[in-house]
Parts: sequence; structure tokens; C-alpha cells
Amino acid sequence: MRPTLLAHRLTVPLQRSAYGVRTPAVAAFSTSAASRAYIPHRRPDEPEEFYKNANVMDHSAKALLITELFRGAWITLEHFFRPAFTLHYPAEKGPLSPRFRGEHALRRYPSGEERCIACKLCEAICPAQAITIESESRDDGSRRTTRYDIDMTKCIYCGFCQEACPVDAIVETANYEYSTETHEELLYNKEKLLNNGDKWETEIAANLEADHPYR
Amino acid sequence: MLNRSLALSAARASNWARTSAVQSQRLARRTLHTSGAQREQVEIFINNKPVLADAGAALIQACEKAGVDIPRFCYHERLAVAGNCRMCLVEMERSPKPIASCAMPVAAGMRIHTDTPLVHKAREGVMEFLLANHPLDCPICDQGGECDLQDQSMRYGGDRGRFKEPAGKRATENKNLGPLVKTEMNRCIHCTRCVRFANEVAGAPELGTSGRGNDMQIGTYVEQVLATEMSGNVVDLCPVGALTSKPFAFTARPWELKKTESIDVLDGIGSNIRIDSRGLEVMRILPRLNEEVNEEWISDKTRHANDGLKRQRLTTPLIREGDKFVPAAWPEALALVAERLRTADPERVQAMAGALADVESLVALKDLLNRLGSENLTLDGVRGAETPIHGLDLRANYLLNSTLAGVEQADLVVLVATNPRHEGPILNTRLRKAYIYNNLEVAVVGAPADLTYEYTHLGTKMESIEALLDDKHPFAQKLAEAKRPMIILGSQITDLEGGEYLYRKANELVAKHADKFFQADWNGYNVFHRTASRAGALDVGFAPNGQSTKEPAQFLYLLNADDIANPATSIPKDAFVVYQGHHGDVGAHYADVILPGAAYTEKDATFVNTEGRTQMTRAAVNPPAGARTDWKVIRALSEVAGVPLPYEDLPSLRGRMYEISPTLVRVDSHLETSTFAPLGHQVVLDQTSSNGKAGSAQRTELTPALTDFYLTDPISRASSIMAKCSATFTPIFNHERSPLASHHQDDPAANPPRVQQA
Amino acid sequence: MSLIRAVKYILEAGPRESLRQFMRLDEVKGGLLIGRDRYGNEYYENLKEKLNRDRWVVLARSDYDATQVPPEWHKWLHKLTDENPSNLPSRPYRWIVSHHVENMTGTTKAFTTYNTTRPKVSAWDPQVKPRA
Repeated sequence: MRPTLLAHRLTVPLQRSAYGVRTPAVAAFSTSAASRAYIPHRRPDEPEEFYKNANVMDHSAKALLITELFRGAWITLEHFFRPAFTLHYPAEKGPLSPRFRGEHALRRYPSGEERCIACKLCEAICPAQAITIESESRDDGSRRTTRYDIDMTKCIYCGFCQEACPVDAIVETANYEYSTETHEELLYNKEKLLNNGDKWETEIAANLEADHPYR
Repeated sequence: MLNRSLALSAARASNWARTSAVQSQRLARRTLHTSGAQREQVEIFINNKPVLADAGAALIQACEKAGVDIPRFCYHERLAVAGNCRMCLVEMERSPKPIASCAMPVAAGMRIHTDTPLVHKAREGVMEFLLANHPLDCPICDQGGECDLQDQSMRYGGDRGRFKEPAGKRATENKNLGPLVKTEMNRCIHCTRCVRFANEVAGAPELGTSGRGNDMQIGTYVEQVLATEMSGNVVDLCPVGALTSKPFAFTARPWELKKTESIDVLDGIGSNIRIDSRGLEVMRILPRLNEEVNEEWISDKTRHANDGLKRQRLTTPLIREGDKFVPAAWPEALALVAERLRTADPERVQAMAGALADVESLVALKDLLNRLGSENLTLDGVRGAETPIHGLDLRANYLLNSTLAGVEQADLVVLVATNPRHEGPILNTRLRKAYIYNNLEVAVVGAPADLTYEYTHLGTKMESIEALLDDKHPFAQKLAEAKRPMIILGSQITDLEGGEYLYRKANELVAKHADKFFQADWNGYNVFHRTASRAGALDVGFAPNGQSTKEPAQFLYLLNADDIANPATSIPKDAFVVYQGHHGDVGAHYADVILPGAAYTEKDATFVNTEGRTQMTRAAVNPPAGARTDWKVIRALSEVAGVPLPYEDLPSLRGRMYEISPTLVRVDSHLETSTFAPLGHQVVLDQTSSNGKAGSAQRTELTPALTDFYLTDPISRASSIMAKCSATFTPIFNHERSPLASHHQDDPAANPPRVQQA
Repeated sequence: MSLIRAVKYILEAGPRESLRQFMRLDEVKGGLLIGRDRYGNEYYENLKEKLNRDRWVVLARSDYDATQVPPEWHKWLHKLTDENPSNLPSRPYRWIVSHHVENMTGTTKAFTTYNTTRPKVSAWDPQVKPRA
């Protein structure tokens, strides 16, 4: 039974029926058309056809034979015969971009000389203050670090350090598979970072070459 | 004479370069605190705003006073004007070209604009020219982060340059200026600040320019090191990274350093410094502006001895067992010391204070010993166990009464047994300033040395001072005509055998001209201490007085005492010696128990400088490992020994200091001429006997108090940089062959001392 | 892939190979062998497969781990490049590490962090001097 329109009443009582009546908020004080149009509220899990199909037989069949359930199951069965999307890690891996920011590495020049000149721009720009640098004059008079620590647990992998570096010394490689079982192993020091660089240099160089026009 | 006339003409050109602030500060020293004398003021218009500027001031100073920022590279307040960087260009009405504001004196009615498109274009153009040949060294340059060129190009420069020379930028060879100044002459922008500083303030004419235009080079032309003890200041002056600090090279960036304002204690001047530290390390020491003490300069020892703070430190209490030191814990060490202190005979308990002892620990130690019934307080050094000649009673008898800023107003100085260049370089720069600007006449009684200004050498023997008491000597006539004479007695007087004679003669000289030495706003009678603790110890009363016993000590407490004369023989064999200090220098070797204290960068301590000015150091870093603040060690010892001192925290200790002498807590206050000075002088005359003739002691030659400027205290002796400086510069200072400098500098014929024989 | 292709690949591979692939990949796939690295890992490609499943590696060791892929093949496998790494020099510079080590965490060879600088403050070396 639908409630009748009560157009001229200034205050519309909120009737709480099984389906509830929801009136627009403006209804309380106005007599405009908006107040007169109320929205029939139906339960979200009821399909619309339910209203159209008022036949008792159809209604009971749907209820007893759980047709919607079988409809869903058929969709699932269709997907069983389609090829799956899941990647079988570690054989198949997700694609990466040359800009991907993963584990850090310190690079070298082709001659083998380490690139980092201890300018401390990366330390200054790091938003998480994950980089700690101490430096002094090396025996041959050049400017090199004695300490270059990145706390990988503080690092937010934003890539600001590699953007700031004027000589492309600190870079983020595409390697993300370096998880550890202890916290201590993630406090990288200079030697670890240099070793990383030595290991991944071919990939780093390829990534830099692909991405440098945009940097 | 040539030196002086050259310096004078440079000075005349820069006469108005002295700021009015300094002038009014000096004149404000009058005891009645009248307002500073006003120079005549003229009205000029800066950016259409009327501004009152001192007549004779430079336009750039007037703009500064008006709050308008003018960029500059070559102009410096304390140096002569060069006007070669052209960055200070401003637009003046009725002038076709922009004018260099550093070189233009103000005139009434001038209309200046600093914000017009012409001025902007001029600044951008100058910046573009400077950057054209400037190497792209910012990541590896130590000046990055505090570079004038960086800051001014960001603020006043253009966004692009048009330098596209295929041949590249100009390159210049690096010069070797010694172990302290690192040169990277590619970066030099030829502002000549270093040249002007070395020539005017430091008195080292080695540095100059050669060549013109693009080929101009700053250097020493022949290979020489910058042999002056103020050489480190050129590093501060250089606006770019051409001259940087060699020990500090590549170690830190300015933005990561914690800056602490503090005081230097390695000589008696008490220069104001700023300690830059990172974590536990003191990275570098920079000067802080204080017009009355050190202006903007600090000596090389102050600046570079900080690496001695990391070597040979005492980090844990040590107890001697046989011929080895065994590390111990604090409770154990204190218990042992307290037990021996309690059981010792109070008459034979003695304490000795050294060069770096701060006032708080002196007060605490004196209180502790007095509570135990002992009055045996001595100072280290030769004759440290005897009451000092100048006595302890009147401050005017043992301080630098003219004050460092007042030295510039003297017109005649007699230096007695002192070498101010090595004992306190800041005093020497002030004397040199007076020599240049005020026609200072200097006479020296003592060992002749190169003081960077001309002086009359009266003689090396003590009896030479009698020449001044004789009216016929030319210098005595000058003394009679002088309006503000000054006499500076070196602290060596208290150490010398026969020093009483010299002291007496000097005071007779002062008495002869007492009306000129003691005026209403001028006290020309000075004693110049070369250690930071001496004036404070004398103020506190930590010195032998008539009540001390002469018996050998059974319990000896060495408080930072490292200048012990003949320690192997003078310390009694059966005495129980406790050494409290921060370095394992002389005193620690002879101790039975070593209690580690904190160095001056690690504690908040009070020091009284040689003028009597109280200043406080501040802790920049923590003391290493097991070391503790000195006065706290003594307080803990007193508690364990059963005679707890009544103060437990710093405010109550300072309250005790106030009881002893209110000047000890008036930090950084204004110094005034003492009205007791003539009285004190009279006391001296009455108390010292008048020896008519010089004895045999007085006919021996006076030797310098400091044989090596760079190795005078535990911290500098532990420093490897000071060792390097000593090996490089001390032979040059002594006119001997210096293996680390070039052969040009060790030839005595090429570099004679600047002395006129009397 | 469809069931038909799955069955076809199993029949083509044979029982031994199928078993090996099941142990590594959990399925049997057929593709073009692009290359083999010096540790025995085999790299395959099949462009008919779905996107992102068209390149895969069959790892050599039975205790296989994702980090056993050396860097030159790592960039091919992750689609950072299309060039076949067999055609490129593996060590353009002498200092590039030649032997690839997997992630050693959990083992005794795991990386332990250490201080690379000298200690800041050096203590006095105590010596006693005799008094006369």
C-alpha cells in the first residue's frame, strides 16, 4: 500500500514502514514540488524485477530453486575455462618501467672510480633523513665519503636522492627482491651499496639510458 | 717608515670605512655613560625615503643603516675599500652611470635608487660576468651552502648565462699557502679581500695580486706560505670557495652543523667563537662578532686546535698500580681519592690550577680545600708556589685595564717582557690597528721579535727599562709627550727570577707619568695574561697567599695543571697526586689517580679573560665516554669525602661565585675603568722595595715566554694540525730554515725583523 | 591458456619435462627458448600468451628463489628491455661483479651492517712517568 501524496501539509511525518520513507531534507519547511516527490526505498539486495514480477509462482520458484545462485556459479564456471591472469611468481614477474624505484646502489665511472663526491645533496634532500654521510679528503686529495649509510627502513623510496645527485652516483635500481629476516640487514652501509652498484650496473645503465631524456 | 706610510695612505682611503657603531662603542666607555659622540649627519634619500647618514660614511653603509640590502663581494667593513667587484652598483639621480656605493661617500641631498631596472640589470650583468669563468664546483666546493656567490646569484642574478666559449673557462694554478688554507684559485673572483686583510690586519705582505685582467692571479708570486698566525681568517673573508680551511676540507656542509656560541680558552683573550659540531665531533670553529674583544678575527690556534679535542683524551678514571694505569669506575676512583683526602694532614694538602681551569671548578676546589683546613693553592708554571708579584687584592693591578678595544686609542706603548703577537694575536692586531691609524709608537723591553709593526727595541736585558726612566733617551721624550701612553707587562713577569725588579721599574715609570697613565677614561697600566684561567684564578683568590705553607705536599690535586716546572723533581715522590683534566698531557703522567674532566667545548663554564671580562663557554658536544664536567667531579668528591659543598646545581654555584666577586657572574658586561687604579698603583709602589741597581739576575737576557705559538696548552699539543703548523711556521717566525716552506722564507737576509734599534 | 593448449603442452613436453615444469611453474607452458644464463636458468617467451605471462624463467635449482635471476636477464624478464641479453656483453667493465649471488638473508652469509669510519675520539694511551 503506497502512502498517498500529502501535498499541502507543511510538516510531513516520517513514517517508518518496512521499506522506510525517505524524504528530501528540504521537505520540512517548503511546499515546493521537491517536497512532494518522495523516493520509494527498496532493500538493496532485491532485484528490480522482483517488483515487476508479482506472480507468486515465479516468486516461489526463484526462492526455492535459488536461481541467482546458479547464475553466479555459471559465471564462475565460464572463467574456469578462460586463461588465468595470475602470474606464477617467481617464474613470471610483473613488468617494470625503467623509472622503477627499488633498492639503492652507488655507481662507478667506467674506470672503476666511485662516482660519489660527498656533496651531501642527497642527504639534505632526503625527506626521511635516511641517508647519513661523513666525508673527508682521501689520500690522493679527492673528496670521497667515509660513511654512506642508507637506512632502508626509513627510506620512503621517493627517488629524490637520485634526482638530486649531480653525478648520478646514488640511483635506485629495479630490484625489489631484497627482503630480509632481520632489521639489521636493512641498514645499508657504503660497502653494501657499492656492491649493489657493481652487481646491477648493466641494468642501471640500461635504465638510465632509457630514461635520461626525461630527467 | 715605508710600511707605515703605505699603510697610512691605505687607511686614509678607508677612514670612513670604520663603522659608526665601533666609534660610538668606544666612546661609550666613559664611566658616566654619556651617549656616544655624534658624528655629523647628512640627509640622503634612498628609494625616496629620507635617511640620516653619518657624514663621511660610504653610501653602502648608509643603505645598510636604512635597512636596504646591497649585494657586495669586495667590500668589507674592516678593510680598505677596493671597489673592484661592481656588485654594489646603485643608481644615483643626475649620474649617467650607476655608482659603486662602497666607494662613494654620502653627500647631502643625494637621491639613490636600489630597486630600479637599471640596478637589476647591472647586478645581473656583474653576476653573469663573475659566473662566466667560475668553475662548476658547487658539489665539491666546501663553501657550498654558505657561499656569497651562490646566495647572491640566486637573489640578484639572471637565470641563464651566455658563456659559450669553446676554449673553456679560465684556469689558474693553486697556490700553497700553508697547512691551514686550501687554495682552489679557479674559483677566485679577485675581490682582493684576502690581500687587503693580509696586508692591513695581519701584517703579512706576502699575499698580493699579479697580472691584470683575465690573467690576474692572487698569490704570493714567489712560493711562500702565509706566515701569520691570523692566516685562517682569510678563509672566512673569501666570498667564494677559493680559500677554504684545509683541515676542515670536505668534511661537512654548513646546514648539517649545530652552531653553538662559545668562548675560546686557548689564550688569554677569550675570543668569541662559534663552535660548529655534528654529533659528538667538533667540526670547526668560527669567529663570532664582538667589537670589544676580537672584532671578527680569531687566531689560527683558536681556529684549528679543535682536532686536538679528539686525540689523547682521558675517557675513564684511571688508578695507578705500580707502573701501570688501570681503568676504574667513578665510585671506586672517587672513594680512593676521598679516603686519601680525609686522612691527609690539611697543612700538606695542596691544589694546583692550570691554564684551562674554569672559574666554577676553581671556586669548588678552593671551597673544598678551605673546608678541609688547607690554604695551599698554587698556580702552575715557574714560581707558581709563590704569591704573584702583582698581588691578588686589586683587580686593576693584574688586568689589561686599557681593554682590547681601548688599545686602539693609545698613542704610545711600552711592551715589557711580552710578545703580544704570540701570547695573544688579537691584541697584536689591535696594536697594529693603532699603529696604522693612530701613529702608535712602540717600545719593546725583551726579546726582539717580528710584531708586524715597527718598534723601538730598548734592549733584551731587564735593565733596559731603565732607559725610559732616563729623560735623555729619545723614547723617554716621546713618552713625555704622549697623550695616551700604555704599558703592557707580560705575564712572564711573575715567572722570572728577578721579576720583582722589572715590575718595580715599570711601576716607577708609570708613577713618573701617572697623570697620563691614569686619566678619567683611560688606564694605561696593563698586565697581559697568556692563559685563560689566570685572571679568573686571581679573581677567585686561587693563588698562594701568605697563609700557604712551604712544606712539600702529601696530597696534590692538579686541576688541568700541565705547565708544571720540572714535574719529575718538583712533585714529591711520596705524595698522592690526583689529576683532573681532559687530556693526557704532562700532569697525567705523574698522577696516582686520573679523573677525566670535560674540555671547553663540552661544558658550560665561566672564564675571565685578561681584561677582566667574564664570559661563558657553552657545551657544544658531550664529553667523551666517562668524562664529566669539572665542577661536578669536585662536588661529588666533596660528598664522598664527607665535606659536601653547599651547592648542587649551577645556579647555586654561581650564587657562591657572586659572593666571592660579583664580576664573576656578570657575563659579557661592559668594562669600566677602575677608580681604584691609581690607588692600586700606589699600593704596588709601597709594597715593592726599591732596588737601586740591577742585580745579576736582571742582567740576563729576557727570553720569550712562548717558544712555540702553536703548542702552548694540552689541546694544541695533542693536535696534529698544530704540529704541522709548528713545523711549518715556527721556524719562519724564528727566522730559521723552514723545511716545509719554500726557501725564500727562511733566509734571514731576505726577511729581516722589522725593528729599529734604539 | 585454454585447456586444450594446456593438454597439448603436456603431451609435447613429455612426462619428465612436464614434471620439472610443474615443480617450478605449477603448470606446463610452451614457448620459444630465448636464452640460458650461466647458472642454468632458462628464459622462454611466448607472445601468444596473455600479457605479462609471455616471458618466464625456468629456474635451475630445486631450491629456487626469485633472486637467482642475474641482472642482465632480470631486465629482460621484467620487460625493461626487449634486447636479448645473450647478444650483449655481460661485463662491459672489469669491476662489474661476475658472479651473481642471490639474497642471502636468513643464512650465515647475510649482510651485517658495520661502521665504515674511524672512531671519533681516541683515548690517551696511559703511561706512568716516575718521579724522582
